Amino acid sequence: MDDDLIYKTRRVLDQSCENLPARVTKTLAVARQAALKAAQPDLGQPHLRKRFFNPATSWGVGLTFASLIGILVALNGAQRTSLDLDIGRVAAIDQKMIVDRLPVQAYLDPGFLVFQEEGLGQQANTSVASLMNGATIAIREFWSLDQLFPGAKNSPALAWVKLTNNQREALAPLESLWSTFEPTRKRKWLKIADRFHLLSPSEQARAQDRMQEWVAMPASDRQQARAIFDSVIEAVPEEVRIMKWNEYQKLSPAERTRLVELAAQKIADASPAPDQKTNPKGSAQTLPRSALSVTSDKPF
Amino acid sequence: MNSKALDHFLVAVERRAFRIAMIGVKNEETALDLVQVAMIRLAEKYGHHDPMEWPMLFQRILQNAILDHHRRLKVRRAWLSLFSELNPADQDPESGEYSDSLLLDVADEAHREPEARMHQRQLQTELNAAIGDLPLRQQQAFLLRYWEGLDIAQTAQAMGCSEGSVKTHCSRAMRKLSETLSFLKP
Repeated sequence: MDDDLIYKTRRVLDQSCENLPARVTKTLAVARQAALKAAQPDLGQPHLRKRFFNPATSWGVGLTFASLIGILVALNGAQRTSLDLDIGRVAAIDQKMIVDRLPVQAYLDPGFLVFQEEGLGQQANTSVASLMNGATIAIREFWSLDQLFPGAKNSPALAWVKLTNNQREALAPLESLWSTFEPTRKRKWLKIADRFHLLSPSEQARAQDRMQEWVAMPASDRQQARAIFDSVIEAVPEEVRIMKWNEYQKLSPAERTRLVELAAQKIADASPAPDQKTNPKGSAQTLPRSALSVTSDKPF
Repeated sequence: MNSKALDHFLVAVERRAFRIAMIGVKNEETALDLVQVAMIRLAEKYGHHDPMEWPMLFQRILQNAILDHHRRLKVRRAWLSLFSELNPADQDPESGEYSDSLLLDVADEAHREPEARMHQRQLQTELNAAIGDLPLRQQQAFLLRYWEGLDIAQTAQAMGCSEGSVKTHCSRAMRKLSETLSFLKP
């Protein structure tokens, strides 16, 4: 009873967010820009930078030399801070994915995505074509942790034996694979491990069941699953996704094949023309946010 | 790159944050101000933190801003009452006369059927009133836990209280809402 009330309440609240007047959404956009501007001195730049001496008020070659060293340290620190933020972002979505009540395959199955689209229509506020096309952009710009920083060095501090008991307990299913992970991937899993205690017992069990399956997937599947999952969880409430997945499981093989073919057709129909590929603004109404809000020149 | 991550996060939370603030303060301008304050404070103080911490930190800042607003209102009322200058019809945003014009002023609903539109409006207005009638801490616990999707520990951190208090607030909120929102039951 409570779950039903919560679900319905959330749905009405979600709908009320979709219908905000233009004056409100515009003001929110202005507020966001102001916040981003305010963040500039801090983002990607560690506090070290603020403590550097000002050459205009300094004296002596020694101090100038020291300031150059400081700048190098700051740049290195900025890169590390940036890397940490990026790993944190991927860790956040990965944690949600391995805890999600639907299997990862649900987000890689175009037939299921088009099934949701058909069943929910406008209510879902998303479409298989927009998800797939958006995912292509988002993967390139946002979710490809595996390709990031290939030259990053392994640190002894990341060795399995150096992890804390809690970290080892949380990541137990990955113990045999740990030594094969790149440093960035290790850091990502450690972030997930450090928040493992915040999950409920059933979520912890589900997460551990999924860990090996998740790391065994091809990198391209993981990237695509992240990009689509990130958009779907915003557009479709969890309860609805589960309900639709259960319905989807009951479809005949022929019906599923029809949906997969339909998805392929929709994706092909909605693919941007070659001259639009570098600027997806023409389809901005349907692209997922993750695809629209990032224009990074980094490999993810 | 990092500002893109922050932008991504703020885009994802801004509408819900506004609705939460609206339910908390019942005034559009004030709600927008509070959301802006929360966004700027998060960006300035915690922009360099791990993005996984942002949801809880942002909600904590927003909830504190809502609480501060209520404290200021309380002081203002006390002064106004003291000098007997309060007009009963003063623009008190928390007066019962406040009509939820925001929810009625729907920008893109022209394409909907009139009956469905009316029903949707009614649902939103009644839900808004029901949650708005909850005591502030119950409102906060309910919205953070069940709408924002924070777990009990994160909700407790965002509200600055114990996990036991969160459970109590949520349980009381659910009891009241299941009475007042009986029309949502199957």
